[in-house]
Amino acid sequence: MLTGLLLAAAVASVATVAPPTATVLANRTAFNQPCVWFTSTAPDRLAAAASAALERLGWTVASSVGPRFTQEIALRGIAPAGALYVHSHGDHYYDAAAKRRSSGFRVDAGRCENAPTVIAPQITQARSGVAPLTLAFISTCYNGERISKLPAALGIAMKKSGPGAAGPRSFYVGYSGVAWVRAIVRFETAFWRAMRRGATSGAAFDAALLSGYSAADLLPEWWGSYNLRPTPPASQPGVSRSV
Amino acid sequence: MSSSPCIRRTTALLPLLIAAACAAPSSALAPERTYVVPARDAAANLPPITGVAAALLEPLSTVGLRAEPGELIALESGEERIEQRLVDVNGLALLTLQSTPGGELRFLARADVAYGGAALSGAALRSRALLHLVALRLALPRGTPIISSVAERRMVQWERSVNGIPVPGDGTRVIMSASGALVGIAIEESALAPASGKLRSAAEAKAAALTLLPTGTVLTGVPRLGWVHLGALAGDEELRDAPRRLAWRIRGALADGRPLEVHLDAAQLALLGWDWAR
Repeated sequence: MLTGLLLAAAVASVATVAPPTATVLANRTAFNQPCVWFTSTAPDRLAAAASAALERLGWTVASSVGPRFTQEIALRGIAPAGALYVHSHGDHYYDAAAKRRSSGFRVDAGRCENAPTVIAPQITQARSGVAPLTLAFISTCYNGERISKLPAALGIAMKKSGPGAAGPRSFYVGYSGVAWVRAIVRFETAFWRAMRRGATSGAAFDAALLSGYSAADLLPEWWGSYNLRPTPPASQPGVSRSV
Repeated sequence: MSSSPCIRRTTALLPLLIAAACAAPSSALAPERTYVVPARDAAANLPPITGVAAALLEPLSTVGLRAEPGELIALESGEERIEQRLVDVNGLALLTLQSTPGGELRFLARADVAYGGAALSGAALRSRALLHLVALRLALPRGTPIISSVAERRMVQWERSVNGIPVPGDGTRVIMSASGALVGIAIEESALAPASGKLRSAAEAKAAALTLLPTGTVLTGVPRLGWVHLGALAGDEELRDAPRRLAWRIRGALADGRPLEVHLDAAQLALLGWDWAR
């Protein structure tokens, strides 16, 4: 209880003083030896691709990949963030406080199994009074489903404002059902590449649909505004020409 | 049966070379790429992007748009392409094309295609996808496509197969709105490595997988043959600049229920890579 209060206080403190940043979190431990019998370079590659694109968009990126990605670090980073990327296990986990399921993801914390989770109510509490995220990319299983509570916790309504329509200054990407990692890498590589090339969020999503992943292995979804260039609030939309 | 794509554009660079390439057997293992001009010079010889914009079934008005000079880019696979873009006054690309230096269109993406409209049936989507390909004078893939819905878009995909064995992710993919408006086209054809020996049976592959996987792993379903990318360190990182290998693809679940797929060389049964779910 005391830990929770201290954490909430620390989060609130960060939220009131820090400028909007982009937070990048990736679970490496659970996807690698000795936890499993193989080596996965995907978490580092995915985090690096997200970080590079977010920096290109003008964000100051704070990245925690591997055991440094703990529950405390995650909530501290998510609280003030204007953009967020997470790669980990995701699901609709049991929320003991509310006695029902909520949505979220597991942290790394150097744990092979049963690592702590970050779930929607914790994020809602941490982000109290903070503007909705500009860009949220939740690279996990299940958090692109309509029943996911993560978009709301990040301040993003589950609606699509298509091309030409006025909408929120937000864009959320997630995957429905089980997401296979080779498909994830293809989709996200194409998404971030299009973003670096100056595409709007919706156009980058459309381009990523063309990326040659197996449709049976990945079901991406988005909500927010198609036309959004997810730059930090104070910056001007820029058009990068570098790849 | 093969749905190997080969793109014909009558106005493309070096029509004789392209026609020769299109006439090559669709089961060719490593497509030859013969360039008679340096790649950097090829952009100047591609058809103007404004012509492609006008040829679309839903033509893109070029009023107020600017065609950027073609640019040589390298994909993750190492493949070089010429990218052309039609941008608005804010610099946002409304039409992006990628062609091989030989003039074959491989990728087309439109931005700002509206959602909604009357949803087409699967059969109508297939017909519409073919019409989009015809409008761009692209080769028509054969066979029955896989049609799926993703984020309120529609995906019509003709997966490439060689001698009846699928090449996952390769082939012709057409993305449309629910009402059939074109969002994009991608055509992929990876190089394939020669077979490395006599094909082993599915039962042998399954037995080999069980010896490799940790105790408690359960294999599900029937092993399937497929052309896969090697994994770096026999892991999950696709080495897309290397030819694909013929492999047994075997799905299962780890002891804790997490799904996984291993790829074993179809002849040697050596581990080539794996894939798994998050």
